[in-house]
Amino acid sequence: MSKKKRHEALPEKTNGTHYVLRLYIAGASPRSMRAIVNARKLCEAHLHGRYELEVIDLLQQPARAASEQIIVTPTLVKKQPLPLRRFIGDLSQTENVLRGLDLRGA
Amino acid sequence: MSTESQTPEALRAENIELRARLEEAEETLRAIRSGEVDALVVGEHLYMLESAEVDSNRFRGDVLAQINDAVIAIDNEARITYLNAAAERQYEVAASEVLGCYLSAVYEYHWLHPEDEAAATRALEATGIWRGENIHVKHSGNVIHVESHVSRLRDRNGAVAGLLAVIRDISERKRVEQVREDLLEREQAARAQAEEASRLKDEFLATVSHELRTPLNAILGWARMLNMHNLKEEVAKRGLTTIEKNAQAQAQLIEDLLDVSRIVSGKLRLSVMPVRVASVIEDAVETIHPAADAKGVGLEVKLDADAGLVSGDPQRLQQVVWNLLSNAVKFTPRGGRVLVSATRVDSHVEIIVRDTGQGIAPEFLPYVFDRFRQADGSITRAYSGLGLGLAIVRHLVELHGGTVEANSAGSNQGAKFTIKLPLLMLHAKDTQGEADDSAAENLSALQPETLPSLEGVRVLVVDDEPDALLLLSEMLSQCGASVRMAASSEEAFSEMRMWEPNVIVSDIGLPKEDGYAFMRRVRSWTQTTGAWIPAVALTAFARAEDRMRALASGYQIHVPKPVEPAELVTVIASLIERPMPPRKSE
Repeated sequence: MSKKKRHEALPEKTNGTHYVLRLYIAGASPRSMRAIVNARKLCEAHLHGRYELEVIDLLQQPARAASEQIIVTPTLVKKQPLPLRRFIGDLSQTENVLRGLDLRGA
Repeated sequence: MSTESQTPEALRAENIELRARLEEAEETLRAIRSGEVDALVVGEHLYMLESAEVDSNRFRGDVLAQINDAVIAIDNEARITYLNAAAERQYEVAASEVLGCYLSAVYEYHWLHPEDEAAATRALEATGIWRGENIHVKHSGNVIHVESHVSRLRDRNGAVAGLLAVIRDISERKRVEQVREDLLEREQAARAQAEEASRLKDEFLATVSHELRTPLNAILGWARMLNMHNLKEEVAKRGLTTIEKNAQAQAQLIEDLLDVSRIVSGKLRLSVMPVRVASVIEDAVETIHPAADAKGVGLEVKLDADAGLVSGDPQRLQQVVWNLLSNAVKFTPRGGRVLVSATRVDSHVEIIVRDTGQGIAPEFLPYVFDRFRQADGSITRAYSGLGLGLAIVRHLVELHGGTVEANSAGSNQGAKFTIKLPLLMLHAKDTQGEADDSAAENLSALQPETLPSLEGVRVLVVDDEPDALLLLSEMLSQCGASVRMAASSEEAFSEMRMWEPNVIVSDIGLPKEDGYAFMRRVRSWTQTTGAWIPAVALTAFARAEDRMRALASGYQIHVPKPVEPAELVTVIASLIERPMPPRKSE
């Protein structure tokens, strides 16, 4: 098993904009799991050192759905930088997500 | 949304935002239609869209959240797809920070045995399940011992999608097990040690009986022959010599046993005075010479002129050197050599006894000074002796504030014993000479040629053993004393009244009234009559406490059995020369 990568989630002082992301899932479904891994890969590749990713299981914390007006899972929400954006599904459509996050051409 | 008061720029921004929202709404609808979502969220209610039902899914979630074992799922890339609350606690991480990351963000794992890894892979291939123990090193650096149940995850098409691990921290259990194992091990070691000690003692007892019986056989055999037959004079003489030699050997054995008993009970005492190392060695060499000559072993002595004085008990130091010499002679074959030397090294004197004998096997070397320990403990062994000599040597040397060590290059390479004793520091040169003389005098007083005369001294000997009585009487008469004998305290009293002896020599083990009670009665009688009769106690009980008891009952001195004639004569002479005033009972 790979030992080369160490997880870096804490925000660091960097040149780029700081991103706050929330991923809403419902239990450990295969799609939720894929969404988790895809979200993390995306962050590691493009937002290294300048992001916070919070994973929220609505089965465990149903009250959290209301605040972001979540209507389906999985949903990834970009809270910062504004404007707020939502992405639906397992996030495998990387290009769409990157565009929505304003990361294309960055 | 009102549009009246807004600038064209604001309107454009709002337009973009609205379009984005519309796109999101369309995207959401498209996602729902194409089945890319798991659940619809209405307020706090979730409606699962796939076969998985929300209640059973939530039930599973509750179980996983409440379970005490860490549950972690990874995909085929080893990225974490699930992590329950127990895993967050166990690995000191937050799920949000490590979900989607590689497993190594939570822990590194190590196999207990190298072969476990292959076994785990095989088990997962064959059955899809592996159970076993590993060591996990957490991201924080803390190490835990875990028991894992790992199973393969498959997607709905049956393809391997990752692994699910249920991991229990068993560090505490392992620690308790380890403590228990350590305790057990220590207990077993202690038991083995006790058994070894007991075995050594048994072996030692067997050796003691054997060693005591051997000279006894010679003594008894020759005594019977001397009694029964008319032997030729030379044969009879040889018999007597043999008896004497064997009796001496036995007396030495008993002396060693008593010394060990004193050592064990911490009652060995030294009579300390300034002692010239050279004369101690010379005396010991003189004693060992006949044995070395008889065996054909050469003795070589090399004494440093300024080996000087040590503070010690001359008899005990002589015993030390004698023990080492007799050991060396014993283990050196005919034609071999024994060398003894004394050298001054800084503030120490170094006494070295070296031989060309059979040496000491390296595995026995650490034990040579142990009591009851012999390189060959079997009853059929080639060398006689109790194996006490070296234990006594070490103890005596240590009592003198010195050290002793044994060296040997191995079997048949000879042995070397080195004693180091601290030198006595004297400032004035003439003080040294004086102390020197007194020590030398002390020793020469016991040499037969300087035996004092007991001419005209009246000695009353009390012993219930007729043989012992005759022996003592003969011994003292030869030095000119006039002797009367008594076999009990009653007889002794009547002799005393009629004959007024100058000295009483009494055994302690008497019938009816023992030697202690007898002497207390003598002392109260001499106090009423005003007569002063010094007394010598003879006893086979040769321990320090026996000596104390004898002195406390009114004896002036205590002489252990078997009695050396020279010693007894010297003791009596010294009592006559300087009669002591009556002393209080202690």
